[in-house]
Amino acid sequence: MANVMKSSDSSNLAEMVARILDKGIVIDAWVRLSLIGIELFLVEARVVIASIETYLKYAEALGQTTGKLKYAGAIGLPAGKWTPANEIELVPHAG
Amino acid sequence: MKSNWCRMQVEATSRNLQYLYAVIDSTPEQEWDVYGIDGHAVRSLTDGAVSAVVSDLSRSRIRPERRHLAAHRQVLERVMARTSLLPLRFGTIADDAEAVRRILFLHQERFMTQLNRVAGSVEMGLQVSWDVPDIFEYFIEREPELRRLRDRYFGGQVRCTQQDKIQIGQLFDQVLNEERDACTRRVENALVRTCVEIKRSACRNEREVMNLACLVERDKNEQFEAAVVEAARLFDNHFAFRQSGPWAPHNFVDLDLET
Repeated sequence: MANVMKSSDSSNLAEMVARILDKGIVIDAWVRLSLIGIELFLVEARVVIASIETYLKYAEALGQTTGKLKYAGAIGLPAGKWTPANEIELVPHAG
Repeated sequence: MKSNWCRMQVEATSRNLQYLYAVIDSTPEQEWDVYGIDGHAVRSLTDGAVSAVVSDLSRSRIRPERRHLAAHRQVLERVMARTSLLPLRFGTIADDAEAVRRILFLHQERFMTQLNRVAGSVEMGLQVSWDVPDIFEYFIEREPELRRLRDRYFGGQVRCTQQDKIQIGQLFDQVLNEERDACTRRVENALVRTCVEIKRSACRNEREVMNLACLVERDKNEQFEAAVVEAARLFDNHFAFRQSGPWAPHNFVDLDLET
């Protein structure tokens, strides 16, 4: 069973920010926010939108995975993480 | 013309910026027993069937600093303990009390419709995450197609181009979102009987499975919490549920107003 945690108050900062800053009645002409020098947690609480940059980031992370790796033995890679750098180096030896 | 000009002069000298917190059912104009942003007194301004909860503000712009956000939240909590409310987005500032009464007058019906929607209910948050050391390993283990591409592009057999990377990244994104959607539907099914409405919000990072806002009648909150535990039983310990609230119904107010 999945673990269930309850946070009942403002200790939950990210949740509070996501609500108070982004949700509720909007009166556009009256929103007078100064976003200069806002704290980092506000930026982190914002949603990441999928983009080419995100895909590349995912690809990079997938390249680092080692689970059920098929070719590791075949090309004599030492056990450990893949990086794009060692991949390029290894191509000539593999051929 | 002249009398208009005189009025403007008077208003300009007595001009008092008003910070808005919430809209509620009509109450007599009164002070609330809570302090607002910068420690100002909180009061209600009324026009017809609705009131706004406001405080004076002596600055013309506001930064979303922790203390201001906390003050905003605290006012909402205090008001919510007494009556149903529609929260305003942080940073809403009117020129003066008259401007506030005017907007209440202009949008009276829409406010009332929305107030009816949330009457007697609170918002509960439910966020589910993957509780695994590495989300990418997790999906590589589970998804053969993702593993095949990983082996092909990163296995050292071929040179991985930018296009290949985009392809595998996109596949991960797709797999991630399909899995999220399937999980979310299971949870929604388990909760639906205890909620007035359920809303999905976008996930903020790749470990997040779902981010739900649930509109729950105050006296059904216990049933809701029990349903969350039931929902968690449908998942293994690769998942973690985090419930938050009660909140003001931030996610159940769809009002984008013109002045």
